[in-house]
Amino acid sequence: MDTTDSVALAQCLAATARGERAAFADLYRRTSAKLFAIARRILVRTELAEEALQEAYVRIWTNAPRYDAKVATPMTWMIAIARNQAIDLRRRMSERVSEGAVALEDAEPMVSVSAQGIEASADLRHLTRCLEGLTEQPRMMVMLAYHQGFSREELSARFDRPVATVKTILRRGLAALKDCLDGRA
Amino acid sequence: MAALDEESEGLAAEYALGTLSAEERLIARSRLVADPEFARAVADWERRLAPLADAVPERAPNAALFEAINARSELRAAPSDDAGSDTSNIVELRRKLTRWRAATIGLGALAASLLVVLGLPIEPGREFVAVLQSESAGPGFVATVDTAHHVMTVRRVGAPAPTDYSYELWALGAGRPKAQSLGVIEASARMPAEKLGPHDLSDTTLAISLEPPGGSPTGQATGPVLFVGKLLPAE
Repeated sequence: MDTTDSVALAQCLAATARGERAAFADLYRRTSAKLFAIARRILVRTELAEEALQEAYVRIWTNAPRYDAKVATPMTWMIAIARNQAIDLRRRMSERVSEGAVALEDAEPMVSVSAQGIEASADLRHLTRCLEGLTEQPRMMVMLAYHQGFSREELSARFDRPVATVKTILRRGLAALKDCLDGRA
Repeated sequence: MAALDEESEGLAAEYALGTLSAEERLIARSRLVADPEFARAVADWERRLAPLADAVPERAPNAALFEAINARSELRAAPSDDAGSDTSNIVELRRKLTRWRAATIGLGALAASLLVVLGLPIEPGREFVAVLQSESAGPGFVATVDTAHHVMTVRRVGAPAPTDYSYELWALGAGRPKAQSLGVIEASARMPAEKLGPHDLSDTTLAISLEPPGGSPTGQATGPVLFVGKLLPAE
């Protein structure tokens, strides 16, 4: 997301907050392919991803007046809304999601830090460096959780570690990641 | 700015990352509304992790989806007045009270102020109150538990449930192994406080989910959770 896009998105979001439907349509046009891709990785099934995306944009519309540019960029704000919808739906639909999970994981291994063919932003390069500073297990857990919406329980099954151990690994990994990202390590 | 304790910081990180269970997410969400420091920690984590989304190749959804979104009833209203006239005063009051609360006054006082606005009597010292809120529409329900008279009351302050759905009330946390149903709520309800069971009220969170008419057929929430709030001692 370059700066020009970010400024345009902020304008769309501000106009959406005033109830301008054309701006909302523009916002959808600019962001839906990214948010849909994020939701689909978490929910695996297209129809579930569409359901989450629908809920996400309804919230983007109703919550637009509460967007605070001091707290997040428009894209960070919208990604968080979409991921929250997708993860909530994944928790409710865990059986339906896991039916299709094997096929998608085979097709799209997502434990590598960066996708091929996409030029990494400076922020992603920084985050990637910090993730590479973690040992393999916490790094893979963070990636599986972020991209595929794995819960502690699902990570526990995947890595064959007790849930309490997964929590400890996650908390330590995230604390180290924070120190690295915030420039304290 | 007061720093969060390590446990809260870890919880904020895991909420943003998405590893919490459905119930832990609910409880975290009620804290997002009640605790500005926690909300800031979650926003910080969302910002830290967001670059990972750069690496996800875009994929256009079905072209019909935008029409489905535009057909949703929430989009008939302008974003600013989505809470409706009944609750807009409360939303406004909540905004005003946020700063006040941030200074010295506990959240219990905030919830208590809402109850005064709603004309519900409260007695400091022996009552617990919860304002059940949603991310998008502000307060939806207000609950009080009077431990002296063993009565719990719940009152709806937001929109009624959509046609062909019921609102169902749940209690979570305080060692409950899973969400405990407190029944379907129409406009208001009064029930024995014992229904909450022998659990610590100050560690109990209440939630409202959208269910088929008459309530969840499974005994656990099957629909989206719309409103969440933590019980707090009235001050």
